[in-house]
Amino acid sequence: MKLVCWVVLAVGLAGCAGANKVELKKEAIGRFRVGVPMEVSAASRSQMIYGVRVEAAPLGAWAARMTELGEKVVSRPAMAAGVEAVWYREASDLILEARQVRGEAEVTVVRDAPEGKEAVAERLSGDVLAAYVEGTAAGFCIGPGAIRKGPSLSESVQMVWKGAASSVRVEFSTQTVTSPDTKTFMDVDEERGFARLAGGSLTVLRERARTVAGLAGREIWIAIAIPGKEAQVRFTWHFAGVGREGTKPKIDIVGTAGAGGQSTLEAVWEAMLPSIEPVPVN
Amino acid sequence: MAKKHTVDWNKVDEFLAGMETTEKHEIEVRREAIPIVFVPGIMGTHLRRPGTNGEGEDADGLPNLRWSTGTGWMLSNLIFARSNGARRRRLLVGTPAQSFNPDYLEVDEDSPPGDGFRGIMEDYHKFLTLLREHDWGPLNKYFVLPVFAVGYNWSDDVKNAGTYLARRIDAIIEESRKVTGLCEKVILISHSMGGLVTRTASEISGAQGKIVGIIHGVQPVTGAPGAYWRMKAGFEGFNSLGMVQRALGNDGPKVTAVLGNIPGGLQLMPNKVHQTTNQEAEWLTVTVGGEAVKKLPEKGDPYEEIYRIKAIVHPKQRENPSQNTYWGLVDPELLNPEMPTPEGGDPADAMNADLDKAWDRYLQNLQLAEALHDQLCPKDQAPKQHPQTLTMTGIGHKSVSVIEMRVESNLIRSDPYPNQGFRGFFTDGAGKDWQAVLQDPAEIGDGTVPWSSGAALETPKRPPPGDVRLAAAHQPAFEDKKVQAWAIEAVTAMVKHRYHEQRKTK
Repeated sequence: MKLVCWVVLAVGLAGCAGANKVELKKEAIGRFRVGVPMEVSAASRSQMIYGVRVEAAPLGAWAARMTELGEKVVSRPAMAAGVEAVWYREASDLILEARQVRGEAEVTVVRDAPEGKEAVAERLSGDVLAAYVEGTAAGFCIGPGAIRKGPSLSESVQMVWKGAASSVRVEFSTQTVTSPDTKTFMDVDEERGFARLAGGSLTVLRERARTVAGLAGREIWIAIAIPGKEAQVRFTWHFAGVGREGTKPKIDIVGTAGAGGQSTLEAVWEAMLPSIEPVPVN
Repeated sequence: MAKKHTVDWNKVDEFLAGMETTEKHEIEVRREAIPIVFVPGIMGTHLRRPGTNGEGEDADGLPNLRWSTGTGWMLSNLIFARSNGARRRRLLVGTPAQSFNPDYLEVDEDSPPGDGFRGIMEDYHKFLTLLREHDWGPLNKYFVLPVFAVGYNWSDDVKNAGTYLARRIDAIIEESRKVTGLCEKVILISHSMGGLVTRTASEISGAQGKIVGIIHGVQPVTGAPGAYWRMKAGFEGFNSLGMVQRALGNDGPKVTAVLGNIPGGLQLMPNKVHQTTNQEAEWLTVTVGGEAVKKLPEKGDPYEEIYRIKAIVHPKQRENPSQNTYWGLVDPELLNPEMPTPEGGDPADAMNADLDKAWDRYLQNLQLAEALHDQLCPKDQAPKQHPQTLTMTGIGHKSVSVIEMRVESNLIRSDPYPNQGFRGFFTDGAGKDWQAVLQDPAEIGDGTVPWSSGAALETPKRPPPGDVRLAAAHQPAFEDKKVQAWAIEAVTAMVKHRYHEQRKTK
């Protein structure tokens, strides 16, 4: 199965008089789908649901992982048919790692447990693994497929894209919350204090309310100059989240670049944000 | 032709006494190396993920360099990332499912570490360069004083850091001996938490005999109520804080997510022998109209009376008066921000919560802190210290000696954790709402450590320059010229002690 699909969308670029055609790669991560311009490519991603870390790895990854774990493995529990699993020790932690081949991916789950609670961890991880389906039409997306379960109170995702020919870095992260996070990226006081301490200055380029994926958030663009360091720009969009609602997690989108990469970051930013949409739960 | 000899500086007299006088002799006097080893405070060491060189990012998009005091790193990872408690915990402790692991981080230094400067905060380099370039005058005749730094994993148990330092002392002596041919002992200089590490290396890890003496600056000998203050309210509440200290976070949730999960952070809390500047054992008070209605620890055990008490910051509904213990050190909800309690969730959420061991892990880390405190500062005994010790206590800056939570009426229950603040909410017997508001520091110290703790090792009749109290702020203490001058005198005193020890004179 092809892991990604490509679409071409008409996206208006910031600062441009007309609309340019920007090729966007659609990436489903967690409960959202994001259009990613060609200027950047994925550098890392991770997902957690019900406190279980879950990923879709390429075929062969499990064998390499077992070699890596080696003597740390303490047991090999029998889980569902087709599921391979090991318990291993990392310092004082007891960690369960299990995988199942699904389509062209090895779906892997990782969860630790206190002594005596191994069965609970196996059941929870097994449930998450069993809820995996290929395709990202719905559910909690982890790459080529999704976990059709939940939403959970403990979900988080994080994905980073970087520019191949620029200093642009964009990070998209979500995290379920017990109460809205009204502090992160809601002002620039902390940043201003830091700039002052470092003998530099901070300029606010943009600060406004902005709705993304139907969620009312706050967008702030700043430029910061510290003596002896390359000037940096940072764009943020923050949605505070709704307490104990898995489909409305806190969302942070953070784009950074050296001052020379500002125009590229602006283009990437203005292509990505309007493209973000929620993925149906079921 | 002269007969050549190489003689250790302290054996020249003995050698000359037995020398054949009919021959010509050429004597090379071998000088003794006494390495000066600087040990930084908490957050003063750069840390990375083991198996990496500190460059690049991992699969979670987190930097392999997990802690640095460089402006660029702080800008990218703490300030630009506006790191909340969850991200800070991920940086220094691990993913939400991971507990503290002493092997999670290591010092970001060269291999072999060389002089160790790379691994520590750049702000220290000026002082170390000053030591390195200092002209030690007549001492140069007999001694060479190379300068080293030993960073350590400050998130870990100080006992492990002490063991690590003891091993590094051996290696530094060995290395110095290769250069000069004679090296047996080092002089240690510590900053803040480094004081606990150096005393541990000396008094617990068996390195005392390899240390000429220890020079301590702004050490929280009996702990710092300021550490409690920051766990509840975040950093930046004090004056004179540098960028490094601010980096752990400006509210209780950010700080608890890190310090509550690492034994090293908990070891800065007041121990069982801590006294206020008024020589009282109770350092935590709840006041109404200026009168203390609660004073803790009542029985001299902050572990049982404060640290092992869960901080419940809201009263239970319809419980009048409420019994919630808002003054406990740690709010369990803050230890693992990505693992909320399961109310409102489904069975899988309940299973997840069942597996979360944040509070149990916290208690285990606390046990490590208590064990260290009991060994370094046993009750009814003087605190353990190297026989040749000199201390510098910082004064002149507002510090926390007594934690005061002032009870005020509360019409609207707001956030218990505002930036640089804390409010514990409770109800009285009539069901009326109250809040206990954490007060700002108001007593004398270095801005972090109150003088009563910093001066707890002071001993009468120390040799000059003696134990001193200087107007110096905590974090930049060794950047202060008065402190630098004192430290140089202290090193001189230690080297003179070594001279007399070797010459068996006084």
